[in-house]
Amino acid sequence: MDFDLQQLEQKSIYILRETKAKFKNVAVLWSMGKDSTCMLALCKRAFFGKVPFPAIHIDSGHEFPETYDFREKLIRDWGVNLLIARAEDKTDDISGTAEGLNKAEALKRLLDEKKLDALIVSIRRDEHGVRAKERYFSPRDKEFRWNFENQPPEIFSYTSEFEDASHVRIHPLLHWTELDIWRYTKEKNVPVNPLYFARDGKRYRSLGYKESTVPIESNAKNVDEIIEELKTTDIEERSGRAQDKEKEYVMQRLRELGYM
Amino acid sequence: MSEKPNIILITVDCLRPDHLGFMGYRDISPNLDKLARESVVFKEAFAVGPSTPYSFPGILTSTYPLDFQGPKRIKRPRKLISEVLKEQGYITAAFHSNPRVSEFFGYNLGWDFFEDVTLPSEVRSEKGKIKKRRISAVKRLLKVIESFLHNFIPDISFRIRYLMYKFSNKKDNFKVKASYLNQIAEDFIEVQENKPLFVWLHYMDVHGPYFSYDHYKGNKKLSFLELVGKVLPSYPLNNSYVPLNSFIEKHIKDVIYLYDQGIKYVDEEIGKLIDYLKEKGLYNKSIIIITADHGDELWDHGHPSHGNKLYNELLRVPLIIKIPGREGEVIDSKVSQIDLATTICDLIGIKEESFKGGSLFSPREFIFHQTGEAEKGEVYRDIEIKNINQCKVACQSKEWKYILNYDLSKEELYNLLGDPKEKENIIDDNKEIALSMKDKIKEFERENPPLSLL
Repeated sequence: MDFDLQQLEQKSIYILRETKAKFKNVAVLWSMGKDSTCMLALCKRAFFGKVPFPAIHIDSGHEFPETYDFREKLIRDWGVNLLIARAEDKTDDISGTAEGLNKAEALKRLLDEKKLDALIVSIRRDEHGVRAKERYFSPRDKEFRWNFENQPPEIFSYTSEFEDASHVRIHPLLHWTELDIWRYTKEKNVPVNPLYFARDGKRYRSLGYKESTVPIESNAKNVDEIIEELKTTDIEERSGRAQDKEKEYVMQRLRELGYM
Repeated sequence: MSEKPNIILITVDCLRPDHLGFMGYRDISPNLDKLARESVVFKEAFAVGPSTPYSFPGILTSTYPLDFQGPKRIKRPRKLISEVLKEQGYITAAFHSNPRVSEFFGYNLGWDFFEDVTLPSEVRSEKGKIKKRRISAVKRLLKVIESFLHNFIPDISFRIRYLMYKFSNKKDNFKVKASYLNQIAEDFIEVQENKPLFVWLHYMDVHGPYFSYDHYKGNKKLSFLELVGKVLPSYPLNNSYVPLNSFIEKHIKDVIYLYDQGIKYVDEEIGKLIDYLKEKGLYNKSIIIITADHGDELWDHGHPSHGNKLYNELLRVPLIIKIPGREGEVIDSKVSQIDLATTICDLIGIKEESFKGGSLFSPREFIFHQTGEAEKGEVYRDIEIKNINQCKVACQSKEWKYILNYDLSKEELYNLLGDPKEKENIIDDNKEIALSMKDKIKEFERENPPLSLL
């Protein structure tokens, strides 16, 4: 593994180990996308072949069939302990905002039920302007709100106290880029949801509801080709996600509401 | 678990046996003392070399450091104990943070899990430039005054240094702590089942720079004396500046105090690990070995730290082996770590051809030591070995210690019974003894030709 990737991995593993040591009841969010599957691979690497936390899938019922197949396969192969948060549609609206709100509601219910105090989430700073403001350890209050103007300082080997937090979001992949994820996927042979590979000249670059996610133009049929494509592209990663096409502040509002 | 016992090898960098409670020191290591009472204790154990690269070939490969191509990189015909145990069905795991025993030097062979643990750095290598830090004019001025006063009025110089430290946001402890390694090891043990384990943990906490116990626990800012104790172990004695020398002499006891604090911390962590093993029901089924790769010089021969000398404050190491069913044994005769890996093999009933050692339980009359970190003037150097002329070899028996300095073309002889601190070279009065010891070394070198594959 090249040195750069090794450094990224080391840091993420450090954060994962800190998480396991400092929190009582941890779960990892798993959407079957490339980032959260990479995260599970990192958990396996950090904890010697087993994922010690349950994985939460926020199931909207709107997922692609390929995603469900992929989920079942990985549960079998990796022995993942899966928890499902069932997201219910409140309206017929299947736009991006609705997707986010439904998922946040479902997650809130599950977190209360399982009394989780930490949640590992696979977001990255390069995904979106708002995510760039995130911390590795990011507290949420009872209403799941994120106060990005008042975050604890983050200095390695010093610990911050999270006094008012109902739970803490942990972001071990924060410093990775989309390209890093694919390079790691290739290096470690991490299984990939087939939706990422091109069929008939189109592929998904980021996954959401099947009704609201559109594929991008691409001929990349395997991980190598995706890596090559990403080196040259100037299309934004989440351009296929409907929720991003709405106004700029939607993401920020969603985050304050507890959406990851 | 299974019939074969688990093997837990714990090595502590720089741990001197004469600073441990059960070896007669003050009470700073209660957990190790307790373990020692339940184990076999080797009171006179010695490493094959005085520093990590010259010692670990002895511990993990049962070969002498100058064998083959020297300690530069572990490769065939050397074989690591991990490879041997893995072949025997052991799950092998190493947790350490010393670059000297990293993959770079070939120590990663034979491990199912080899964790060279590093703390993450905040700087990303790929993107973004590192800003050059601006130094204010005041700081620059203080620095000039500090280095100017350094040799003549070290008291004031160190005060200025402390002032600057206090207002900086520099990180003090860059060492991976024993508690973190233990956490990883426990995560590892947690998920294992049915197969015997070989776990190697190497702690760096006792290695310089030394910190206080509170600092190990909580990363506080250092006090003045702690700062002095942290910085001084890079200063030799007998340099040409008298004030600096007396400053060092005045503070040696503070440095030793800090050194002991590291031991206290590691002892506590070892205690916690042992508690964990007991809780998991593994303590009674495991062979637990506690040792060090070498000692540390606290100006015993004019220098701090370790590297190129072959005196016993560097070579003597603690050695405790807890063997299920044997306790309270104390072995007083001299033993060498070259026999450690072979003794492990003996205990589980296997044999390895590439190991040069014998059994720790059949004591050796003569013990040999080597180093290639040459002494150029008074400076510690770390040079690649090109030939034997930059090496040192030593041989010791119960009574005598003979050191052959190839690098300085000098011979030394000490009577260990009358002069255990090796202060007085008495070679001129004991030519015959020196000659017979030299013969032993020549005989040893015929059997173990140094640098034969270079």
